[in-house]
Amino acid sequence: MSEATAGHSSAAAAESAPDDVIAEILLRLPPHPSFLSRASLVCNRWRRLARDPGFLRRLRAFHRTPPVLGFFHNSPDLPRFVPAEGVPGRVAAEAASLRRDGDDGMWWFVDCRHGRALLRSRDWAELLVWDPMTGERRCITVSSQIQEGALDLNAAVFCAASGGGDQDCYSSPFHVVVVFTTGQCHGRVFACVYSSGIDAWGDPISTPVTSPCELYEEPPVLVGEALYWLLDGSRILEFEFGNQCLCLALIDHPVENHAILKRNIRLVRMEDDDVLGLAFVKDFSLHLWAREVADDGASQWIPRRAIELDMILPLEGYRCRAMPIWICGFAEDGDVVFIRTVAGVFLVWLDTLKFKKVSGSLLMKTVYSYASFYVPNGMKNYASVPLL
Amino acid sequence: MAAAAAEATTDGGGKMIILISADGKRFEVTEAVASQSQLISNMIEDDCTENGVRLPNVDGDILTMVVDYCNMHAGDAAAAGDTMKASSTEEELKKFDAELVQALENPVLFKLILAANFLNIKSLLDMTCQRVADMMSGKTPEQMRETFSIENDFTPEEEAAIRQENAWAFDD
Repeated sequence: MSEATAGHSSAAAAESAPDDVIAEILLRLPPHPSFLSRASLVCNRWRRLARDPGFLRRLRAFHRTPPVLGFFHNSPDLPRFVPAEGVPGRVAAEAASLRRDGDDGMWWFVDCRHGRALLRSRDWAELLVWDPMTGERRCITVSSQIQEGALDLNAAVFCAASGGGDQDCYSSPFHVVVVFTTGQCHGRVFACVYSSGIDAWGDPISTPVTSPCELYEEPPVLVGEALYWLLDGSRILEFEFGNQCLCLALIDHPVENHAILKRNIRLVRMEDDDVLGLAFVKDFSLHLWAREVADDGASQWIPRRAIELDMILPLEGYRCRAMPIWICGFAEDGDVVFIRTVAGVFLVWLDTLKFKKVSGSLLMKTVYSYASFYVPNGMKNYASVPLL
Repeated sequence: MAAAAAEATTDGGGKMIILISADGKRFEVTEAVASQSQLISNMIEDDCTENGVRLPNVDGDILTMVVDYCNMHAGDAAAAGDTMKASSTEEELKKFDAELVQALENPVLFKLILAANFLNIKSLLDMTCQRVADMMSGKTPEQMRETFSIENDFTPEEEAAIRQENAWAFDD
């Protein structure tokens, strides 16, 4: 007679379940950090399991896309963090403490990705990489090569480990890339990369442009191993960082982003197939186009979707026909769009077209979506980074 | 235990094996049905199921549910009992699963989870763990302790400190 044995389960209940079973359960809670946060207060064992680094890696792999917790913005008179649901929590408290010495006392949001936010001083002399969950901060002095002569600037924080399946860019060293045009050199656009691992800036790289170009101030989008910024004149700046090489290139897109469309056009990651997309509002509809690249390298822009925002959002009572609908930003995974109307700011989930009004403010022009999984308090989100 | 009784085959020729619960209940199932348990599948491979498989930490009532679940999910495998269907449509399966987990409450739910974990039946473990997670979401820590009979082993000082640092959930 074969006998398969294990511990007795006569008193079967949560207390007698082995750790791996409790971990399986905790893994399946909704991904918003408040759920695990609450569960970690049940007993010592659950708290220990929820703080285990291996568990946290599995959590990220299980849910894949971190939940959008809210967004940051640069309107100085309002709380800098607007939560998507529930209470403001830890991130709002951390955001409220973001003050810098000197000039206007403000850190200005530039970008937000992989659980980190990138901020700048007004004059771009200093950058701050900030982890809203843990409060970790690193202040970076901008390379003098950038400071001297840069005209338009934009920047991004990213992690070279991104694009892979396990999403563990949250615990890896990060990079900051500043892209800029210069007054002296009209024919080129530049990029310069800071790496947290060596705490140093690399040499600038550049690419020629045929006419003077303006860099838009909206944050870039990450698709695969490249970042994309909108330029004026239907152009896109591409910064590739894969394969141990950095390169800059220009891509054209077919949408004339002038007049009413100006500033109402965004680059977006197409969620389904991880390709570069373009989002713009026209006639109160959100249009999504995708850049499809054939095997031979030829690319074309294909209209994918048009969403009639005025039919979805509750704008009755507002003279919406007289007022435009603005795109304020996208979640980094491209699954949520932030839309500003005369009625306030809405989150719209693109898969279900469900929406939620998150602010009545009309002042938020550009928002920086913040998504994160649970990070236990006191735990470092990224490793081996000397802190301020 | 009469070893000879465990030797059986179906009319269709599929080999049958006997599962024996902690309280001595016997369940005759096909290898295909039983193989959904990775544990038993390994035992079949190792050729050590011929005299029946004793499961001393799974009660008969829980094993009944497990066998029902495996029969339901065994695809085109022949089922052991007369009342069980050999195969089911996807819709029937969904309905069956939904009814099974909805009906479960603690502590039976946890007994089923422990059985699924021990027998290593991934789909059943996934489903039952998800049910517990669904029951937890929206509950306060106190309600979770009550629902799952868990003792609060934090000191009041520890609890206050953790509440303070977990501002995500408790700022209101």
